[in-house]
Amino acid sequence: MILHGSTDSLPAITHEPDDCPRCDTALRVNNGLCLLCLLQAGLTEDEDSRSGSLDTLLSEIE
Amino acid sequence: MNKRSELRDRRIAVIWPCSTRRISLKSPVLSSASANEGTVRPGAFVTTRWSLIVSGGGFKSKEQETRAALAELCRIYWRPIFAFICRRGYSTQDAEDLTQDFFVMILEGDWLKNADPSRGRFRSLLLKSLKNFLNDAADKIHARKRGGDVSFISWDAWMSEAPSELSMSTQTLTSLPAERLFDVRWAATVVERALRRLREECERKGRRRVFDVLSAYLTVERDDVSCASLATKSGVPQGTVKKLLYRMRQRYRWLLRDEVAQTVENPADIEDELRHLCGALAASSEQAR
Repeated sequence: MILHGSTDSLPAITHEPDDCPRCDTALRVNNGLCLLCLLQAGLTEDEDSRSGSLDTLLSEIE
Repeated sequence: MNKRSELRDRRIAVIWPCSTRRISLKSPVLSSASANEGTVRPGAFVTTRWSLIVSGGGFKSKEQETRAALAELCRIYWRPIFAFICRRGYSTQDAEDLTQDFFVMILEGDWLKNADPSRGRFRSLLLKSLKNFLNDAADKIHARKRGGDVSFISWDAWMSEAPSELSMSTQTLTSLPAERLFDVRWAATVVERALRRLREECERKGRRRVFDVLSAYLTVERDDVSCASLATKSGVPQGTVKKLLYRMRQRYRWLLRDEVAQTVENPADIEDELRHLCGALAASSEQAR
């Protein structure tokens, strides 16, 4: 494997993140959030998740 | 400037071999996903990109729409393909070229007909095709070096359009076989797109700060959250923080499932696809130990 090149090549994604205390994996995305925990969150289906409810609440913030 | 650099700097476009017609990988994003947002009952992802591709395959009247949907999916999921090719031992430059060639093959040829989309999800079908494509990759590289290609993807544009912040340990990275790395990259793409859409929804309401502070708690147990501290950091009343966190989690879950829905034919497959990706991530970590 060649270890140089574009900013999206394989070595660019190694930053030695810590293991997640919840799931024990060490794969992170945005701001160090755990990739597996974020993915597992999708396994819970909500009854009501329309954007309107978040939008409304965001609009109501004073 | 050499030939390779010139090609890389061009706009994204695939020239159809028998005409002057072009299809842009930066074509307007299909309305299906965004049109469905907030207007359908929970769990019902009415028209998804993959279901549109599957239903349109073979119909001349739907060819343009089908190709646009396929181009959009390719534009989104180029990273898993690139990572897979790199892991197979190609240089970064060759991997970039092969990724481009692979998309040309997918978009200009009879891939849809030969691939039989009804027999698989987009992810697994793409991986299978990629493996076949790489079987004679050496010939393709030689052909390209002789100038026998038409290649035209702006690599930098793709990277800057949707930057990824995936990070993993060197040990994990070096221990993963190409197929596993493909799945990890795929999972990261799905999650990062859902997060990006959530951030954009907050930004549209002028609440980027709310996203920046609360998104860190999307998967944290409720008992571990200090609403008082988050209220101070986000500039939102304490009583609202709890509600916001609840709704942001709910909304994130919906967006994540919607992203997965774009790559499967049937909404009933969302759960299976998520479980497959979760399994791949867990196995990746095990493999690295």
